[in-house]
Amino acid sequence: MPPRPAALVQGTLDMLILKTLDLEPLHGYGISLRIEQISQRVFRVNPGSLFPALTRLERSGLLRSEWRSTENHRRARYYLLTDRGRKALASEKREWSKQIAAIARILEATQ
Amino acid sequence: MPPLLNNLFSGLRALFRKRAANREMDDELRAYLEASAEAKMRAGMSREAAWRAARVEMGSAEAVKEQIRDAGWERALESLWQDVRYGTRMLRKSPGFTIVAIVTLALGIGANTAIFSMVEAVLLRPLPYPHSSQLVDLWAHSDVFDFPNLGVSLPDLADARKQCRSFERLAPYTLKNVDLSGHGVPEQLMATEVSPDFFPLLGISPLDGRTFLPSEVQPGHDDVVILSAAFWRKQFAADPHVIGRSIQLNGAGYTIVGVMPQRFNFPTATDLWLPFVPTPAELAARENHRYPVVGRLAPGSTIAQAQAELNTVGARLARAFPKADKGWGFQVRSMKSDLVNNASMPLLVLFGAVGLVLLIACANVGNLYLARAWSRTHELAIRAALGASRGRLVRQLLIEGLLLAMAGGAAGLLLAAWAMDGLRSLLLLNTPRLANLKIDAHVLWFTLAASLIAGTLFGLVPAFLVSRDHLVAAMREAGSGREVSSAGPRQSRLRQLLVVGEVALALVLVVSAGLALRSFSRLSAVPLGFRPDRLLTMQLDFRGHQFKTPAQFAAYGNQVLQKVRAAPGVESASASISIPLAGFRAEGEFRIAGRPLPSNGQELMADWNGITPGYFSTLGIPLLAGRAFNESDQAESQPVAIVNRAFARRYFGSGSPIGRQISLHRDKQHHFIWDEIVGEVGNVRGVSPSRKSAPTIYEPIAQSQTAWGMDTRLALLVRTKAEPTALARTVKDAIWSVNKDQPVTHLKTMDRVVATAYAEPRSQSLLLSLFGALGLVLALVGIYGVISYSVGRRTREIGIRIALGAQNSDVLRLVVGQGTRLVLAGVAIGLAASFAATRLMRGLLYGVSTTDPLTFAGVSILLLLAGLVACYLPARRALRIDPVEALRQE
Repeated sequence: MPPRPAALVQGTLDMLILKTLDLEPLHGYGISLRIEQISQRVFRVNPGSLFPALTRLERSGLLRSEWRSTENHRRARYYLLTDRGRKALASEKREWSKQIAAIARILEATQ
Repeated sequence: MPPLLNNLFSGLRALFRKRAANREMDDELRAYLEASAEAKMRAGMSREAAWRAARVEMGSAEAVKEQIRDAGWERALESLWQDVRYGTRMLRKSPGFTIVAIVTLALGIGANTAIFSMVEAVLLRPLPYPHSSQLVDLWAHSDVFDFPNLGVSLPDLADARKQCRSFERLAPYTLKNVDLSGHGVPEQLMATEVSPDFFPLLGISPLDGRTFLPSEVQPGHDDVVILSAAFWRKQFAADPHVIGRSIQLNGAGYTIVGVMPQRFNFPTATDLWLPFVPTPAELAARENHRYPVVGRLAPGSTIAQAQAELNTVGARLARAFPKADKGWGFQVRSMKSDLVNNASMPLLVLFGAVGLVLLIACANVGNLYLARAWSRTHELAIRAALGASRGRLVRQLLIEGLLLAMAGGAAGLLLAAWAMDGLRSLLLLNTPRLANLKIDAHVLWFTLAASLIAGTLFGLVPAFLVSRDHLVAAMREAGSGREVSSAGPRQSRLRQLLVVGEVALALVLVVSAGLALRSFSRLSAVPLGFRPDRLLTMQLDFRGHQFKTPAQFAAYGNQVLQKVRAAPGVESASASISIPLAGFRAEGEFRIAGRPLPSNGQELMADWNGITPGYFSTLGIPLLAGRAFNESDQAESQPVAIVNRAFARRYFGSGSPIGRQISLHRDKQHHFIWDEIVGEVGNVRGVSPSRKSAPTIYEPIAQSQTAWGMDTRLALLVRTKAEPTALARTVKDAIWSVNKDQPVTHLKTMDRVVATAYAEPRSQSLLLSLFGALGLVLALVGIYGVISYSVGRRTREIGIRIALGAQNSDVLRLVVGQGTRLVLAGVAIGLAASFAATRLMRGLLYGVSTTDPLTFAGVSILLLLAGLVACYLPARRALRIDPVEALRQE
């Protein structure tokens, strides 16, 4: 049995999606697979969280979507990062690194 | 696309193309499943196992779709719409409640809309000119003459113009009657002579043609005329080619150069505008205080600044020209407040009154709504149990309240529209600007706002009931079959509070109505001093140049009177400069022979009227002493005067005025002309029924320089043997038999004149009574509702009491006592509030104090009795409770 996937830290899903799409456009399953793979199965995203997040991001203009055919010649909806999305990702990354560093300092201090 | 729009469009698409959006979600989820299953097959799972695993991973597709839908804003809208539909369904399910609530609100909101449309038309709507807040009227003000609007003399105006910085422009004008001839029956028109600045100052451009050129406001070039839209329509059937045509005014030809738009009607009732070309004498006559002036303030100037500047100028003029200007000053008022004058107070009182009616209506519907929410506790509890949040339930109640209020508002709007014509014609005849009364955008906004506020007020009343604890208790108790009681005391206290408030508000309303009614009955009982029945009044207008001497004027009047008196059906007739209550009076300075000259500022002033013999007998004014005028009082005979009782009392005390001498005029050599007082007559209420008769001097027209010199019109009074209106034609023909070109205007019966004078107090008391009655009925319905609801809820308790031997009187006391306590509390609070509120009515009341004890006591008793009746009806039902039935209810 693989270890149980960890729950995503609150609010990080959006950032992970943006990061995943920064490399190349992907469809829904592709995104969840990529997150799973890169995190080495630490994170797994189920469709019930993934699709609402995609809708939200698309509504706020960070993503756009189009129907394309897959490598297996099926139709699927691909999500692409917009310029706004790229900017949002960069700022989220900065913010995240700052927080991580801060948390790390706190944890070290207590030891 | 900007994200906001993007969001909006996607949301709208999800809302309106639900099926397409749904299909897209299905497609996407299927693609996900396929991809997931394929990946699993590649990893070595069998096709069947891979699909099953993929489905398990995803869970219910419907749940996922629901989660996706929740991500958009349209979801909130959709749930709101659901609540609206649910609310509509719930309201339809209890039509009794819904209809009562809507009718109550319609009455409240309708009354408010109607009165607000009056407030809007009269007080709020700006004048129809650009930057109209800068427009002012400039009047003279005198320490001696007690008239509100005295004109300015042209030299004074020229000085004010030179010395004041606060005005951009000032334009004098003057009103004038002109005869239109060459069109059959001679017609009298209202003309206004205006200076060249007049139209540019108001900022009004003509509908057709042009306004006056500066070159036309010159002697010899002023034969041009501008028509009002109303006159253009009446006289020329709105002929589009009227510019350049000519009309005959006072026997001379005038070229039409312009037509003004319909909305332009200044000064009120003007038919024509003519150029104002003052003569050099008029331009120099500083003592000639007679020209009204309009002004436009310079940008940034205020009325206060202008007034301060004018005060300085006025003081300077009084010092420089004491003969003409001592005791005179300037007075500047905003054009709008001048126009609205004293109509604002009565309107605001009415507006306050309908506001109270709406509050009572809200309290009433709130009470009903509370009872309904109460009986719906079970339904609400189930919804709460199924996961509806408290906010959602409160929202549901609020939405139903707003739905009711909007329906009530719409019905109220219809009611107001229907009442509008009635308001216009029946009421407030004297209110300026009421012709503009209509339901416009402002009124619609007001109605919407009133509905929303009302809906929120009573919609939120039951919200506190929907606390989770209470709902849980409700579920439990409903399950056990017992009555819900956990929040009972709280809600019944609130209901009682609402009833107390309603009674208090109703008391304020009914007290106001009572005061207005008592004031009106006092006013109606005032002896006017003359008999208005079977009297026909009319006005004869003359051209200024028609008569050369007073004797000619008197002779012409006599000739007309003789013909009229000879006409069949005429009992008597007389002529005078003014008649009672017709809105025109003259005032004069006089002195009494043998008394020292009064010092400056202490001049003796009296009302003055020039009359022909037969005036007192025709009007029915009693002769108290001495004699009336007769045909022997001619220009050459001894000058005589008659005074009224108020004059005799004021200046001669208990002594007789007969034989004393007074003087109003000087002859050409500046010697006083002394009149001998030959008679004393009764007082007449000449200005308004509420205003006591001022000391008055009557002089024979035949002897009066004033009568001939000051005015060019004469009032004719005809007492008829039968119904007066039937004789109008006969009298006119008699006049025209003397002079076929004599214009006859303002023909009406004296009864009509009197009714007009009473119109304002009548309409006020009528409207206040209407609103008082409305408030009273609503409050009584409220009391009835609360008490009968309480009897319903206490059926068991009352049953037990009866079973234990309570008598009818005990039960009655129990029920009626509960209601009476509420009414008493309401009356007490209402009395206190009335003492504060009725002070606003001080200016509207005649002969009644604003704290009239009789009214206050009477209304309190009335409300108590009515309250008792409202309690007695449910009490009788309590008496009929069968104890056995009641006990079995559990």
